[in-house]
Amino acid sequence: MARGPAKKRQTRPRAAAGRPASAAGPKKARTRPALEWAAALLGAGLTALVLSVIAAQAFLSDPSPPALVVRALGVADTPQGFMVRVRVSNLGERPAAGVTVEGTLAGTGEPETSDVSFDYIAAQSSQEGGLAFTGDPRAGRLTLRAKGYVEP
Amino acid sequence: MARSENGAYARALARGVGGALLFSFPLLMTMEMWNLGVTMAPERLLLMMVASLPMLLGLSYFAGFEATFRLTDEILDAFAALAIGLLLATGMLALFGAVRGDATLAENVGKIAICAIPGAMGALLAGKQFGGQVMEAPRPREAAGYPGDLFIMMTGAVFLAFNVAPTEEVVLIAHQMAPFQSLGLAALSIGLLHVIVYELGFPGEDLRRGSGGSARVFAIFTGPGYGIALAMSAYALWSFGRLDGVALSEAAGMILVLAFPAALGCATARLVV
Repeated sequence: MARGPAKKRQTRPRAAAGRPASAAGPKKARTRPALEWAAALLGAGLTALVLSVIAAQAFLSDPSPPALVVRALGVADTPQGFMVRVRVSNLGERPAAGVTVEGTLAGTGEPETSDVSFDYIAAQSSQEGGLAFTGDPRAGRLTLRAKGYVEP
Repeated sequence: MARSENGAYARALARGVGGALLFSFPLLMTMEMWNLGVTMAPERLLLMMVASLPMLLGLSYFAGFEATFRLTDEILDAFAALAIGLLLATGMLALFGAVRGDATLAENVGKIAICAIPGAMGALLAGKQFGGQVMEAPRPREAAGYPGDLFIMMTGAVFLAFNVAPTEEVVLIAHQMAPFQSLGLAALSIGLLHVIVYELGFPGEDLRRGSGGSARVFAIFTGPGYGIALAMSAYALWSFGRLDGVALSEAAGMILVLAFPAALGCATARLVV
C-alpha cells in the first residue's frame, strides 16, 4: 500500500531522466509523506498494544479454570408456562464451551427439571438464556447450577 | 508537493483497505475465527503475531516495486499494513457484534489480532496489485532468486492454510477419507502444484524451463513447494490446537487435507505477489 507513493517518487524522476531513481536526485527519493509516517506509527503502536495484551495473557496470568455461576434474572409468563431468564457468568480465567445449566423447581407439585446449554462462555464473561417450566418458579423453590463444560 | 504526496499516500492506503477487506472478510465472517481468538493458547497466538512481522516485511519487499531494499520503507509499509489490518478487523468485528463492549479486553484483542494478519497481507498486496502504473521489468522478482521464490510460496501456503485450518471441516474430511483417498489427495495436490508452477510459471521461468524442463521444475519447485505446504499446514493446525492430543496418524491425515489448499496457495502465490 505504501507502494503507491513509493512508486510515484521513483517513477517521476525515472520518466524525466529515463534512468533509475537512484541515479536521479536522491533527495527527492528520500521524501516521505507525513501520512506514511503517521500510518506506520499508528500500526506500530497498535501492534505493540495487541502484542502486550496477548503477552500478558500468555505469561502473566496463571489461568484459573472456568468458574461458572448461574443467576436468575427474572421470570416471564409465556403461553406455555413460565420462562426463567438466567445469566451464566464464567468467573475463571479460562473459557468454557458446551456449558450445561440445569434448573430444578420444587414446591409446585411434581419437581421439574429444565436444562439449557451454552455453546461458549469466554473467560470473565457471561451469557444469558432461558429455562422453561410449567409451574410458576416464583411460587416454588428454584435451584440453578452449571453442570459441566468442555475445554474448547 | 507535500500535499500531493500525502494525497497519493492516502489513495494508496485506501487501496490497502480494499485489499485488506478482500483478503480478510472470509475470516472476519467465520465463527471459528472469533472463537479461536479467545480459545487459542495465548503463547501460540503471540508466536503467530510475532512471526507475521518478518513475513509482512518480506512481503512488503517482494510485493514492492523498488529494486533496492530500503529497510525503512519496508518497515513503514509493513506497519502501515498492520494498522489497516487491525483497524479493519476492529471495525468489522464490532459491526458484526463479535467484538463487544461488555467482553474482556483480552477476548476482543484476541479476535482482532487473529483476523488482522490476513488483512495486513491483503493491504500490502493491494498496494502492488492496484498500483496501476507501468513499471519496468519486475526487478525485485529477479533479484529475489530462489530463496525469494520459496518465501513467496510460503506466504501463499500460510495464507490459505490459515484460511482453512480454523474450520471443523478439515478434521471431518480427514476422518471420512480412507487411506487410498488420502493418498489420492496428496497426489492431486502435488500434481496441481506442479502443473501450475510449470505451466503458469514463475518470473524468469523461461530460463529455468529451457535449462531443465519439467523434471527440473519438479525437483526445485514442486517438491520443496509441497514440503512447505505440509509444514505450514502442520504449523497452522498446531497453532489452532487441532493437533493437541491427536494420534499421529490422525494428525497426518489432517495435515494432508490442509496441505491441499496450502499447495494451491504455494502454486498461485506468484501470480498475486
